[in-house]
Formats: sequence, C-alpha cells, structure tokens
Amino acid sequence: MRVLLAIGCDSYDHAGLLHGAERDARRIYDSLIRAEVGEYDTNRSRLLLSPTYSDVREALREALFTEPQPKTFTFFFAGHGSVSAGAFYMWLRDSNQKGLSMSALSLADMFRSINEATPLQSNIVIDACESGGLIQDLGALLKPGLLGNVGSPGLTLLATAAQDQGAAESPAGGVGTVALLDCIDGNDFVQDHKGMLDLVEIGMRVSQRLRASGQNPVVWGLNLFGPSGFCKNPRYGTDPATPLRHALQAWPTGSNDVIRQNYDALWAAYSAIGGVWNPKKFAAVVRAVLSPSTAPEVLAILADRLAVTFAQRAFQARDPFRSAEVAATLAVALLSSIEHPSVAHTAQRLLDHTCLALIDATSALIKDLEGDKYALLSDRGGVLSELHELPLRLTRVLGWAAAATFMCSGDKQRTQAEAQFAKVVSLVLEHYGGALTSLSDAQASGLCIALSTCARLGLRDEGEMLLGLLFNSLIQCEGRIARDDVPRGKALEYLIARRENDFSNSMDLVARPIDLLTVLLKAASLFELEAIFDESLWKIDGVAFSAYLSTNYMNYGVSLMEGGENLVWRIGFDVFKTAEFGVSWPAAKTVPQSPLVAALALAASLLYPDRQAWFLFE
Amino acid sequence: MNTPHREKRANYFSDEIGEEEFHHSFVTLLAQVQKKVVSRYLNPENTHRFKHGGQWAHPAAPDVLPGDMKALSAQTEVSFDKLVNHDLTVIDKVLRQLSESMERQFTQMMYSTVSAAAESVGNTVDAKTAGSPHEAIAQMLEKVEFSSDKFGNVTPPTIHAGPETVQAMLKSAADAPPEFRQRIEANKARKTAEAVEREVQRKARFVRYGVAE
Repeated sequence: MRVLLAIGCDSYDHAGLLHGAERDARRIYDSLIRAEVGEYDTNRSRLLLSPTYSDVREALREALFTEPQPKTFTFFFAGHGSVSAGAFYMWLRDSNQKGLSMSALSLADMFRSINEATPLQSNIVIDACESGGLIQDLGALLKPGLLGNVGSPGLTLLATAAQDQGAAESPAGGVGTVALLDCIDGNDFVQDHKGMLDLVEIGMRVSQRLRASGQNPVVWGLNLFGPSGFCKNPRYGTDPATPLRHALQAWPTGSNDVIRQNYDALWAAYSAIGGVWNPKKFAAVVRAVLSPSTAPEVLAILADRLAVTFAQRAFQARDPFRSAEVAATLAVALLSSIEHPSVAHTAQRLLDHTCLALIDATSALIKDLEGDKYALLSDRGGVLSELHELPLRLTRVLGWAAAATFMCSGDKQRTQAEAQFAKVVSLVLEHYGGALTSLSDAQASGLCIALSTCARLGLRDEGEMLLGLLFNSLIQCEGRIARDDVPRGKALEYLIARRENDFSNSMDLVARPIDLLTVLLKAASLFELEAIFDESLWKIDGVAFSAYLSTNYMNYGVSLMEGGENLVWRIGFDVFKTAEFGVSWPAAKTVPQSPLVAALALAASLLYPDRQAWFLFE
Repeated sequence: MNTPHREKRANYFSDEIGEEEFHHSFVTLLAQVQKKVVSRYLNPENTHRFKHGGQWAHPAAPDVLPGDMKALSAQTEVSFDKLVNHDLTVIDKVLRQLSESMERQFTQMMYSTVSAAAESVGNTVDAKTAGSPHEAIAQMLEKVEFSSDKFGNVTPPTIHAGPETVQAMLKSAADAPPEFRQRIEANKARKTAEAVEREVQRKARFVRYGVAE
C-alpha cells in the first residue's frame, strides 16, 4: 500500500496570503497518483487545500494508522513554514504565531507518528519559507534510536528554501516544486540506469538546480529498506505505461535483513560522511553490508542504494575528494564478486562516478592552489599535526589524481584527468617540495600510482624530482619511516624520534620491512636513476623492504589477504645494487583479470595503503 | 557532476580524528614538561588538583588566607612555510616557547602570592635596612618557621634568588664575623626544635597517634 498526503496552503487566518501553494500540491498529487508515475492508492491518498490543523491531524491519522498500514508514505507540503524554539512548523489555515505547537504541524510530531506507524519508506517533501530550518529539527534525529532500531522506517526528506529565505515562486509554481516535477516527469535528467527514482537522487538534482537560483535545499535521509520507489523513472528504457509495481516486485527482499543487521552502523556512517569522517569505519560498514556471501543481485542493488544515499552526504563534506572516496569504497567492496555481470555493471558505474568525482575534486584543488599556495594545509586546530599529516596528504592527493587517469573510461575524461594530474604534480612540486618527504609506509601506494603515471605520461622531470625527493629523505632517515598504521596519538613521538635521530624508545613505531623502498626502487628503473640510487644504498645498509603479491587481484578489497607471497629483500644482504633487486623481482604470476579489476585494485590500494598496485610497474 | 559551492574553505584529506589524537598527544607532552617545571619549585606532594573553579579556603583554619585560581596561558606562532618545508625543529621551538612562557608566568605568580602573603602579616625583611646581606639572611631565618614531617624530619627553608643576589649573599656570609655563623647555627637548632615540638603538639591533637591497641 502506497499512500500520498499532499497539502497546499494559500489561505491563512493569521498570515499573509500565498498564491501558488495549492497549485503546487495539486500538481504533485495529480502527477504521483498516476499508476505509471507513483501509483499511490487513490482511495487512501489525500489532497488537502488550505486545511486547518485538525483537518491535517485527522488526515495523517487516516493515512498512517488505518489498516492496511502503508508500506510507503509520501508527504508533500507547500505553504508558509517557520522555525520556533528550535522546531520547524508547517503553517495551516488556522495556525497562529502564538501557540504554534497547538496550531501548526510540527515536523517532530510527524516523525513521531511515522516512527509509530513504521512504513518501510517515508518520503517527506517540503517547499516552504524557511524550510531550511529543518536542519535544527533533524540534527537531533541523526540517531537511530529516535527512529527505532530494528524495523526502523527508511526516511528521506527534501526541503527547498533555506532559513530566512522565502521559497521563491515562478509563474509555473514554487521553484522547488517545479524542479521536483521536472525530475518526476523526465524533463530533467536524474539517472537512466534504474527503473525507479529515489527521493535522495531527485533531491540531489533539485539541489544542484536550485543552488543556481540562490536556494540552499536540504536533502536528508537513510532510506535503504525495500525498493527505492518514490516514483517511476521516465528516463529508464521501459514502456512508460508499465505500472510502478512491476518494477517494485523486482526488489530482492533478502536485502532488508542485511540493512536491518547493520542499521545502527549505517546511521553512524551516514552522520559521519558529511562531517567527522572515519574512512576505516565506513569501509568496515560497507564491507559488512556488501558481504560476498550476499546474493550477487542483492549486492548490486544494495551498492546502488548505498551509493545514492552516501553520495548525497559526501557532496556536503568540506573535502572535495570525499565523494570519490565514498564511491570507490563501495566499488571496491564489490571486487570479490566482480565475476557476476550485475555486480560488474554496478561496480563500473560506481567507478565512473569515482572518476567524475576525482575530476571535480582535482579541478577544485588546482583552482584553490592557484589562488592560495597553502590550500593543502588543514585549517583545523592542531598546527603541529600538519608535520605528520601533510606529507601523507600530498601522496594521497597525487595518488588519487593519478588514479583518475586509469579509471576514466571515456577518452575525453581521461585526457582531462591526465592534464589535471600534470598540473597537480607541478603545483605540488612548486609549493610543497619540502614536505614531499618519506615519512610513513602509508605513502607507498599513492607514490606507486603517481610515479608510474608520471612515467606513462612522459612527465620525466616531474617524476625524477618526486622520486629524488622521496628517496633522499628515505636515505636521510636511514630507512626508518613510520608504520602505515601508527596511531595518531603516537605520531608526535615518531616525529620527535626522527628529529633527534634516536629511535631507541620508539622502535615499535618504525616500519620493518617497508613497501615504500620497494616502490622507489621499482620506479628508479622507470626513470633510469638506478646508478644514482646505488651510490647511496650503503647508507641504508640493513634496511628490509617488501612486496605482497596476491594470488588474485579480486582479493584486493578484503581487509586481510591470504594465500599470497610476502617477498622480502634486505639492503646489504641480498641487494647491493638496484639492478640486483630488479632481477630478483619474480615474473608476474597474476595480473588483473580485466581493466575493471585493475582499476578497482588500484582504488583499493589507495583506500587501504597496506597493498600496492604492483602491476603498474609490469 | 559539479563541485558544490562551499561556504567554508575546502579541507583536503583532513583526518579530523587523527589530528585530534595528535593534538591530544601534544598537550599530554606539554603537560609532562610543565609538571617537571612545577616540581622544581613545589614538592609534588604539596600540589593540589581541584575539580572545579573558584576560590579555595580552609574553613577549619581561619588564619589561612583564602586563595583563588589564576589562569596561565601561552601562545606561539608557526609559519605556514615551516610546515610546507617540513621543518621538524618547529616541534622543539613550540615546546620550548610554550614551556618557558608557562614557567615564567608560574614563577611570577608563585612569588607574588608568597610575597603578598608575607606582606599581609608583616613577615618581610628589608636588606637595606638590615645593613648587609648576611644580616638580612639572619633576620630572615628569625622570621621563618621550619617545618617537620610526621616522622620528625625537619626541612630547612629554601632561598629562591637570582644568581647575583645569591653571589652577594654567599660573599657577605663568608666575610661575616664568626659570631654570625654561631648565631645562625643557634637559630637553626632552636627553629628545628620548635618545629619538632610543633609536630608533637599537632599529633597530640589526635585522639591517638601511632599507638597500637
């Protein structure tokens, strides 16, 4: 059962008259009620025009609590809205500023009703003055407990207009509603790979469009239960007359159990993506949800749903690379099931998304660096932490920018990514040469990709300089770089030990063996620097270095790889010259099965820097 | 896809949790340095840690002056160039600047507090009026009380002074007539005995002290 409640309020006893709210509500109602668009139940769905407070409460009671209770509930409101005492209110005909809680519909009350009725999915769309004030209401709701744990409803909310802004109106209606209708009707493109549209993805498109006109909409929600059935996708290549329920029936019910088991963790990840981001925790949640034991069809659909939901949050982060990291994490989680066509299809789409996100992020970075050479410094509190973070950040930036040149499937995008990488390398070398230093084994993966990309693109001077800076600093610290997993609480201790060149009390922080030296020695042959490197190898006499060769690159997404080979060399024991190392490198036993696997393995090495994309040197 | 308009400056690959942990470790290190500094002036056993702000008082000892909290703060600057050049000497510099500043403020606060307490009860000595540094030392010793721990160990007072003043005191004491040394020793013996006696009297205020049933 799908139930729609659409409210448009033009007339008010205690507020100014509006002219387009009723028309907006009617247009939304008329559009969504159609079987080929939203297929909401005509008997249970309601359109209310300038209703009173009690009219709305009665309609809500009927919509949510009359048997059979709805599985999908969609609520639309157009009219005056206001924020009072930290709560958002939707104004109705008899609403009064004095006593809003008794005369206007509070969003918090509606959430409570939804929570009690527990439809599988709820969509809330508000096009109102000051609807951006919703954030104040919603901040507290970012806890799964408030929506109930097991069996919690999926909830998506789209609010147009920001606080202190009036919802703008055009002759065709409120601009938010017009933008929404354009997506529903197919006049505006959302996506064309799924038969249904989710309110989150519609919201992202509406947000993009409305930002151009100065509005700042809110898109919020974690709606992962059941099919993403806000409405049918008119851009999907099926018969436009096919009822929505046909598409909904294709939804694998097994996915709900997976979501339910990880619901709290998903909420936590959702909250964190736009703010305090913990990539390890996010990866753990994604791995749990997208477990290879899940049926491949379910896996592909789940990955799609997670991508839509999390991409929207990532878009709001202060780190422009967040979207790429989120999409790549989801794509890499599919790696071990990539042989299934539907999984491969989804992974490729996520990779395409990663590529586009990388191009956008790198473009933003270039612009920022050209305006401010310190743009790569963090502006958070602890200044000294930059002595540890900056070298790692630089290799990550270079690694991701280089990765885009491998991931882009179209020639135009690849050319753009290659030009961007060349520019970024040049800017980083110009402004951050001093911080391009070998500090941690976590830098190996970014450098592996960046150096091999320099060689492939013919950026010889840049590659040599980058390689030279990293190798020299490795020699200076006698190969005693930090472990890739040094807790940040110990990083200062490592830096002080490095400054004093006394690691006697900090040996547990030093990596042994190290992948970074392996990367640098492999890269030396690309730039014909072996003879120069050989001159200094005695200074790191005794340093052990390593490479893990997996039996299968499809394993690159798992936390702990098994069954491969841990190759180890030691300077002054089995390697005295770079060439000896090169000769001893085993012939490739395994190569990535396809360009898709190679691109995903490469992304995995950036997300989990304890593995390297060695095939780039083959 | 387009890059969204950002109201705040972008923060590329900023590890907020990691930076917080790093900063916490820095504050911990700074606290260790500061503890060492304070222990040079105060016995750690005499250092109190209060859980809340405000005044402190001894309601059962009305003669003891009430005290209040004083905030010490220090600040330092690190240029962006030092960071982008990965200059690790910045760590030493920041630690040194902050700890020196905190030490300076701490000692100023400690001496001004002691000075105010002494002046409030007239327990001061003027070296010029005394006539000579060694006479001032003798008067100082007259006015100060020795203290004994609960085992009867008496700790003589400590003199805090700048290097020049210390040199002048030592020279004056060395040049002083033998009667001066005798006077000092007599005073020390008397003060020590008084301290032990005070400790005995203090213990006597308990119903029982150190006597097994």
